Amino acid sequence: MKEGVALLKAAQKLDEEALTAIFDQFAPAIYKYTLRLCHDPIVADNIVGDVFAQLLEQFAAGKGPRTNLRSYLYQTAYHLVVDRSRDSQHNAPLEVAVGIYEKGQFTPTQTQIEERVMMEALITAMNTELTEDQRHVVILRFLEDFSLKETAEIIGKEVNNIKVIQNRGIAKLRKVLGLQLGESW
Amino acid sequence: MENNPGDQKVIDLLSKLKNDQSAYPSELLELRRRKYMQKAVQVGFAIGAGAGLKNILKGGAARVTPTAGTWLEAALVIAIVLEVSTAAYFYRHKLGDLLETVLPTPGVQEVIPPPVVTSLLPVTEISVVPTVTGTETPTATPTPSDAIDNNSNSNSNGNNESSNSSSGGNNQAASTPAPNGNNGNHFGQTKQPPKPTKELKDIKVPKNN
Repeated sequence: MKEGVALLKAAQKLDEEALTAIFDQFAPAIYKYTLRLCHDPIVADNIVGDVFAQLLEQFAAGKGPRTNLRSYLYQTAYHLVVDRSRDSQHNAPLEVAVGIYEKGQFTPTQTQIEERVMMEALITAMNTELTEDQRHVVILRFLEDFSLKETAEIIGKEVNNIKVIQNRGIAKLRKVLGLQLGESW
Repeated sequence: MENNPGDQKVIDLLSKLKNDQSAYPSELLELRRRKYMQKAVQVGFAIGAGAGLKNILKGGAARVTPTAGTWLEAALVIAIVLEVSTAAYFYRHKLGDLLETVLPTPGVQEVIPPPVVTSLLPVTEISVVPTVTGTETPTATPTPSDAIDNNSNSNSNGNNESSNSSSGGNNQAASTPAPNGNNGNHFGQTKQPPKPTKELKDIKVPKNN
């Protein structure tokens, strides 16, 4: 299978194999990222469809990404999520985001229970306490492992601005979690 | 920032959250993948057809010079026109029949010239004559004023007159006043004074004005 730039070039020529490889490689990640933002599996699935449809249209028009396909896809997804969130506010139950913890078949230890409580508190804080920009930056930086530069490209801000947004977001999470967990850390 | 142990713990928690298994549901993923591939095939077909056409045009342009291409194009157009006109000549009868069947037959109303234009002129001529002839009929006349009105209408508006005359001749006859031996100063009906004889040359005849 082609990799990187070769894959991108083949996809720009609408090579079926390359297009399939791109979808298989990035669709689950884009879905996860979108689900974290909108908390609705159906909406996330629709956004994934829109992201890849736009990609095809860009390729067909001779446009589209030239170097960083991953950033481009996340950027498209980010804009679609922002557009949708302007239209309607989604407040999905927390279980959607932390489904893994509901599926455990084993008996949790005390540490695991504490960690689970902390994770749920973190997700709640991310959903309720952070601003839109802070949430996007935190997710892109720490859940999707984008660099500061890539995050800046996706969100469309300067790198320094991203740093400030990130610091404020983390500080707010720490504060909220500290308050909720009785300043234990 | 990350030196702060609290911040670092938040980041550690976030990285644990990264590994959650909120995976793409397989049925949704499969459906989405199928739709994506369909769209890719559609787009690829459209692009491929366009590119193929472009290649054909490019290949043709590479082999033939522009001047020759222009001549070829002109010859092609002329040949097409000649072919079409020849075929139309040979099949003209069939084409005529076909046109007759396809095109709607022209209506009678379209062929006949509009009656308004032709009927106006005779009516205006007629409108004068009955009023004059009507004066000779000694039928009952309601009022002289009606006759005057009718006459004035006939002078002013030919359409009204035509409608009146077409509605019935009795009104015209009845509208003229009874002559009572005095027909007025009508041409050819006024009693001529006796021609003066040679002896009566000096007698002045009063003018009728």
